[in-house]
Amino acid sequence: MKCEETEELLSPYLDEELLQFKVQLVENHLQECASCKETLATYRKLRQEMKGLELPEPDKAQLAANRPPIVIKVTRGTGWLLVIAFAVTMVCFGAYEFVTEPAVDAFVKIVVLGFILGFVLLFISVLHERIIQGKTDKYKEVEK
Amino acid sequence: MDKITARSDDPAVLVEKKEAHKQIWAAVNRLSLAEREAIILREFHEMSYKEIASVLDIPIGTVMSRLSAARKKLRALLEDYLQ
Repeated sequence: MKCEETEELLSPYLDEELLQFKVQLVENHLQECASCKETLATYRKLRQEMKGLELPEPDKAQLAANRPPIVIKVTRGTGWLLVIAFAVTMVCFGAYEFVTEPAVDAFVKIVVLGFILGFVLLFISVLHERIIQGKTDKYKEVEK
Repeated sequence: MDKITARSDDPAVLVEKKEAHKQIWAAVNRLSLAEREAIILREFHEMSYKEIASVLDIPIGTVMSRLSAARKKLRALLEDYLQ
C-alpha cells in the first residue's frame, strides 16, 4: 500500500474503526515506513493533548454583546403586559354588553359565549404548559 | 503519585499547560465547522463513528473523511508543538 492511501487510513486506525483486513494492511505498511509511523505518532500525541483540554470560558464581551439591550427587555415586557391586560378587559366588557343586550336571542348568546369560553380555556391550557416548560427548561441558564 | 501531584501544582507547569491549551483551541477554531464538530464529538465526547454519524445525520464514510481532514490540518497547524 502507498503512503497516500495509508495516510487516509491512519485516523480511523487510531480510532479503532477500521475493518480487520485494513488494519493488517496499515500495520504492514507502518513496519516499513518511518514517515507514516511518525504521522501516527503525531496523531496519538494530538489525541493525548486534546484529552486534557478544558472547554474554554466563553468570551464575556461577546456574551454581553449577544444579550438584548435593557431597553428592549423593558419595553417588550411592558408592551405584552398592557396588550394582555386591555385585551382581557375588552373581552370581558364585550361579553357583558352582549349578555345584557335584550335584542339578542338567548340561544345565540349561549352559542357565542360557549365559543369564547372554549377559546379562553384553550388559551389557559397552552399558557399553563408553557409556564411549566419554562420552569423545567434545563437550558435556561445557557447563555450562548 | 506524590510526584505527579506536586508537578501539576507547579505554577510554571500550569502556565505552560494553559498556553498549550490556548494554542490547541486556536488550531481547532481554524478548522471548518464540519471538521470541528466531528473532532470535538470524537475527542471530547468520545463518540464512536457510528454515534457521530447518527448525531450529525451523515454517512460513516463522511465522518471518517472529516476526522481524517481535521487531524491532517491540526497536525499542520500544531507542527512545532507536536514535535
